Amino acid sequence: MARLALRALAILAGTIFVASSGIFFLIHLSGDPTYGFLPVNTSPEIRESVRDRLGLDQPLVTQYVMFLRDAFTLDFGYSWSLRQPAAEAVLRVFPATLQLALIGTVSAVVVGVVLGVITSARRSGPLEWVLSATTLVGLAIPGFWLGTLLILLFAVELGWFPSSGSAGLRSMVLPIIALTLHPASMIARLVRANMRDVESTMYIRTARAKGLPARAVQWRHMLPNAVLPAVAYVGLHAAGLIGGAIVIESVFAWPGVGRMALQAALERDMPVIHAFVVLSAVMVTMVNILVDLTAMAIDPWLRSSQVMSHAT
Amino acid sequence: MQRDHTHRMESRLESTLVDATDNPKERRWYPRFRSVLRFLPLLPLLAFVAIGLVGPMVIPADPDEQELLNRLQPPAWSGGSWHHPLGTDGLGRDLLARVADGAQFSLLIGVIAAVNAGVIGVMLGAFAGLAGGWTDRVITSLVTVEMAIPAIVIGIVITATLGQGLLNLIVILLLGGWIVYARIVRLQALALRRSEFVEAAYALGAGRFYVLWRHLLPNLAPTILVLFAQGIAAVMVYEATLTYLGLGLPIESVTLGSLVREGQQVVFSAWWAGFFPGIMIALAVVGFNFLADWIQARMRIDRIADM
Repeated sequence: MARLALRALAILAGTIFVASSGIFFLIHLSGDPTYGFLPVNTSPEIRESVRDRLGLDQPLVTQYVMFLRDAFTLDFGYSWSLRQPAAEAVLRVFPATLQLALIGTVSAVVVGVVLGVITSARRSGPLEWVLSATTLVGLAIPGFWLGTLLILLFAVELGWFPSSGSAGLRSMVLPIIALTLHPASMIARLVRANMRDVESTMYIRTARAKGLPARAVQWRHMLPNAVLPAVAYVGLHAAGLIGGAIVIESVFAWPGVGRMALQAALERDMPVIHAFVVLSAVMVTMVNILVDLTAMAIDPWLRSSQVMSHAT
Repeated sequence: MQRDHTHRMESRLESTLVDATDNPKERRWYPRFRSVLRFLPLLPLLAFVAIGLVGPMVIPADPDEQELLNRLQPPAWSGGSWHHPLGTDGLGRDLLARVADGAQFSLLIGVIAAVNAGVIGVMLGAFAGLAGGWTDRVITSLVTVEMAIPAIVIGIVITATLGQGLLNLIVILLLGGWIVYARIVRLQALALRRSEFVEAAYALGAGRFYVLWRHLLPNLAPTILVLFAQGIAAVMVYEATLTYLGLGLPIESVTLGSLVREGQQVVFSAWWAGFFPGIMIALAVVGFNFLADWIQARMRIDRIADM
């Protein structure tokens, strides 16, 4: 347990280090960073005073060390476009993103597992066919387009849900569906394939022989043995799930860090970008820790010492 | 000895069987149904490539020509005219020509980025697996760290620091695309490192690069081919997502992603403007994944699961 947390923290620290170094390198790649955010016709005196205030006249190595120190103490500087400290601005909208990302991930797992179990039980039939087709569609279409299709169908044509914003539960429905379909399709396929592998084992035969109802065999005996690869999938694609939430925010005008970062990218507001990168690494780490805990809850073997996600 | 003999018998039997089906008398002027069916999974890809490569050459309409009197015309079959088969967008531009143009751009960028990401990823992965030690540790931790950063975040960072442009877009796609190759090729290289023919090559005095080039890569070729087909699909989705968000390229460029964004702006009055570009993205994803499955089936290699 302690080893697991330590490993997650080590990866997080490594990620913050590499990402911050990359950002530092990119900022200074084009020479004077003030050209990135000051107007071109700024007078040399003002430019010089800004450089002085931001510490840009220090040696590069000193700047680099200070940049890293600030990153690890979550001090990313002052956002000039939002007129407040970047960390504060990003943390204020962070709960909205976290809500979307976590609910999306959980619903992807639940929907994926249920679909996988249902389709593994029947070999053929209309339900199996429809669900297979749904997973194929889910794998083929990118999240942002699914989002616009959902807006077209449920907001424009039917008018059931709002097309954008974050007013209440109803406005969460479409973003969550858009976030869920792709990973749920992947998980459903994994679970179905594993359920069919498990089906031929002796302990399932025993469970059937002692007269357990089919549903109990499926959910109590087969599923815990078939679900681990799906859980590992979530751990491996945690970054993709968080990234999906960041994209979906823009589709549905959801007021989260993704939209704020996108705006900041076009305005070259680096403190916000830096805070956003660190925060997204934190979110990925959170999902990975949740995945490890889930895997340990399901599989007694993992409770001993082994770590199951992050396996490369 | 006995086994060798039967094996030879079998192969002779096999060759006679092959000869029988390849008998000139058996040949017909039309292709046999089964062999046509075998190529059926490649149909979506062919459709996409036809629209993307041939479309811009044969479609008479100019994708940038605005007809402000013909704004938001519906597709031909739902009330429009055949002058604009898929209708027009908010500025009266022909949607079919724009979709074909966007498909061409997305396909070219996808192939270029996937090839480059493939070369970098395969080299790093193969070298990590073959060399072991510190090389392996550095490359593996690079992969681990990058897997903790969502790909879209890389796009946002590069756009914020380097600005928008074609080269920057390709850099973003490369940074997001090499990891899959590196991870899977590394695992396969680790397995091959212990195999007898690699050990024999080392024992005969071969260097690491020789083994990499002459033994490892030829053995990995089918895997790499499949990864490459899947990689184009993944890169194209990534590119569409980036351009949909307005990252990587100037906002007025015509790509499938930017067409979906333009379509979403007129979603309340014209469903077709965002619908058809999205269909093209889906067609490309399905097409390249079917191609990957098709290669896997034809080469009889184990399924490569990205796990």
